[in-house]
Amino acid sequence: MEIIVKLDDMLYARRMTLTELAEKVDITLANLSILKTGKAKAIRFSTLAAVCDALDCQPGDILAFDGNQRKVLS
Amino acid sequence: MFLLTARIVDTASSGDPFVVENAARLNLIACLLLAIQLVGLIFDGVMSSLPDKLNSQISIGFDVSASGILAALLIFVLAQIFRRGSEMRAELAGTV
Repeated sequence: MEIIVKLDDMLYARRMTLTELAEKVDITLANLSILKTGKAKAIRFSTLAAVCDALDCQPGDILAFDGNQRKVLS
Repeated sequence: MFLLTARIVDTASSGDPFVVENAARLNLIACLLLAIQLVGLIFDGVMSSLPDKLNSQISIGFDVSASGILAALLIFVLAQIFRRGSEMRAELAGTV
């Protein structure tokens, strides 16, 4: 089971590049890239709030829970 | 021991001293310091068991002291602090 980051989809919907998002939220491009590629181990609420504000969306629009593995095990 | 200390200083100057290797280096430094104290104790013991004539001709000595042993123990504690610091650092890596 894991958390899926759907930042790509929302960036496309808002016609925004990752670089533009980085400038808007004052988070480094490197950190946003880590988030976008699913390599982040944790996200601060302040980061999540800033990204949602910049993309005008809800956390659920950019994060999803994938429990497929758990279903397979049960 | 000086090489170990230099390597610890290198990691600090590169910006990230809280690595597992530094905990291991500090542990090794503490062990070496304790070993020096132990060798000193053994050496003093051997010297005092020699006859006075021989003893007085040898002028080598070790400074065995409570402060030396305390320093070694403090460095053991510091090694544990660095180990915990490196674990916290690893947890923080990957947080955006």
